[in-house]
Amino acid sequence: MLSRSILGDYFAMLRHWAWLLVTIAVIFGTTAYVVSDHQPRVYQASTTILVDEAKANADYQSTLLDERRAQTYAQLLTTEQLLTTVIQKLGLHMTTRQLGSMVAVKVVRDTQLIMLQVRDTDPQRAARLANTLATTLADQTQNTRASRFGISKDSLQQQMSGLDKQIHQTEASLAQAQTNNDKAKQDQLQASLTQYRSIYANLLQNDVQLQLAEAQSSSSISQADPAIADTRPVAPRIAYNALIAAILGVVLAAGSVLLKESLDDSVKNPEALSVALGLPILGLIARIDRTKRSGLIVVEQPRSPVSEAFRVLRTNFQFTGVDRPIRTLLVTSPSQDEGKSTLCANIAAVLAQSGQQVMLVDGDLRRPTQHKLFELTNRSGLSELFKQPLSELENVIRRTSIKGVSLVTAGAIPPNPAELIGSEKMRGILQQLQTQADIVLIDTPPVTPVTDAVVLAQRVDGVVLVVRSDVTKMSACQQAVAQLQHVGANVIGLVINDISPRRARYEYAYRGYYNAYYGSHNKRRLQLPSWLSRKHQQTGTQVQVQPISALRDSPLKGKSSQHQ
Amino acid sequence: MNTTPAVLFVCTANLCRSPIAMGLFAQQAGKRDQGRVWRIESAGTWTVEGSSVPRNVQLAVEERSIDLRHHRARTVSRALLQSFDLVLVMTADQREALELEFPEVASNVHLLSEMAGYKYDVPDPINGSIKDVRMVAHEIALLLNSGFEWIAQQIVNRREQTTHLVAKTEQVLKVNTSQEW
Repeated sequence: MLSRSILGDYFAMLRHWAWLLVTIAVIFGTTAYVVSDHQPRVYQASTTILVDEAKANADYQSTLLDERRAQTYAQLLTTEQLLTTVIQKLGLHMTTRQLGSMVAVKVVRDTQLIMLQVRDTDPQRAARLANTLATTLADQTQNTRASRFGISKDSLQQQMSGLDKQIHQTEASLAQAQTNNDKAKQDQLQASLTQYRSIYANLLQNDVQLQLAEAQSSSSISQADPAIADTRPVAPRIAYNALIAAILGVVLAAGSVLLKESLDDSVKNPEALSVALGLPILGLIARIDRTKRSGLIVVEQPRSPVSEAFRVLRTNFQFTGVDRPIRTLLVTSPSQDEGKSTLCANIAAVLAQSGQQVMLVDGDLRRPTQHKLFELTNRSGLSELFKQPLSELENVIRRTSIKGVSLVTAGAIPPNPAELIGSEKMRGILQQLQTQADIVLIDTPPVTPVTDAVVLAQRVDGVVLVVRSDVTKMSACQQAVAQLQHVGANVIGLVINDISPRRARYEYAYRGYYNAYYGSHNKRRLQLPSWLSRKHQQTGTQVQVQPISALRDSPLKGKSSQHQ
Repeated sequence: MNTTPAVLFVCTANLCRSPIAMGLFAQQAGKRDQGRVWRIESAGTWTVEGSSVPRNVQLAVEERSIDLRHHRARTVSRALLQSFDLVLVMTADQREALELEFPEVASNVHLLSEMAGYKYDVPDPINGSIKDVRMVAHEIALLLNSGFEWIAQQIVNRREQTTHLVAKTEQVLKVNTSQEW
């Protein structure tokens, strides 16, 4: 019936823990949201700087060169010197390191553009910083150029003025030589003068060229796109952070759950337990709401799914005794606190409800509880019988509030329960009790801590092992079954107790009730409180049958069903 | 005394078997018992009050011209059970639960299959496919078809018994009073 894949098991597990995953995700997400929300808002201003050598012959080579130059300028933007200048210009109170961390520079690939981004908590200041950085860079570059040209121009001017002086001297000497009529000197001076003049012409040409170059280089750095203050913050990214944190939370929680479940040895899957122990499951009992309950649930709430589960248990139990009717049944559990006594009392009640005379014996001489469940005193009971003749048995059998259920309480707690339980007297008591009822049901201490149950198990027709879902360890179950079977006890099956509603819904859809009635189609329904919903809901449908003639005229559909 | 025969169908959640039985029985009554008005209702032993019928069930009964879209689940109560001549449940479990909790109406509670001369549980198709619901609807239809006369007879008998009992009681009272006088 239930061969489930491993993947299916994981899904069931995750669905089972879905509440935890959702909670963790919400906590993580909310925390990230709040933290991000408290972070100062950061605004970004960006500007684009164009590095352009305004040359007449703009060939590919020079463009490549410009790109490399753009890299250089990009580096220049974050130099100490430039940043200091900008801080001074804007009169800011910050270190160059601080400013440097706010500035991001990037050369746009395959272009001569530099992208300059400034992040600041003040959008206006971010824009101002970006613009000032760009203009300062442009100014400085301009200045560097200008000063370099200035030196060249100065030396050229010096040379020219020196040459000019020499030309004037030579012309004066020539005029003197003409008056003296010194022909040789005249020729010599004439040649020098020609030479000087040609040098001067060259220098003059250089000067023009220099001026031209200077004019061309003036526009090499310019702001292509001035920064504008953007009032939309770029950080923190609140929704993004919250989402990432929530996803992280889910992943972490899922990981922890998988780890926890893989390390957890407790019984989670009844079918797996049944296969591992080679024992049938007689009943699956859901968790009983202890706050509302007084008395036994099969008596107090016979219509409840839990009571129904007990009746299923009764039916299954009747099937197991087909060949060899079970007149004495021992109820025990692998370890403590598995709800075996309450379960035992409910089984007694549900058996009695089917018309059987049930003798319930509290064989737990260590921690007796049956008298509490049936609200009786524990003055005289089983332990007293060991000191008295068997004929006294009649006096310890108590009638209970439940028709068909008689109870032998445990009596005073003896020092040697295991010895008493294993005595010949006990065998006699059991035989005697069988004559008084259709079935004798014995509640005993758990199997693994003490030997009482194992000792008694040899003397009864059948043993039922109660296992508490999510609590009892698989290893404890295996040990208990091994111990019981070792002494030849007839372990007829398992009862899984205290199944949580969530597990019942997702995993143990055995009888279909949890899944069907409280799971699938009502899962998405919002349950209104009863005082609120009573006003609005129409419960029950009353059908008034129309005469056949009326029925023929208008089909039953939608017409004849009226609401109260 | 109210002369309208009253039948209550009971299942677990009041979302599938009992509403189907209610609808089918209304059709039967309309066909066979012309002129007489029946009171036919349904309830569940353990319901989520106000739940509506699952889609599968609605689709399956539409094929039989039954409309359960406005049906809402409700739970049985002592007052409700007492107001019917006959309470027909789907399973022996439900009968046992009702008998235990409401012993005073125990004699009115019967298995639906008993009406047709059998004694078995009508299975719960709530988790199944539309096919399963159809099969259960078919089964209920068969049971009601062969059990209709018996159901009607049961109600008549019950009425007569009650009338008889009332008459007898009145008689006894009269005798007693006359003797005293």
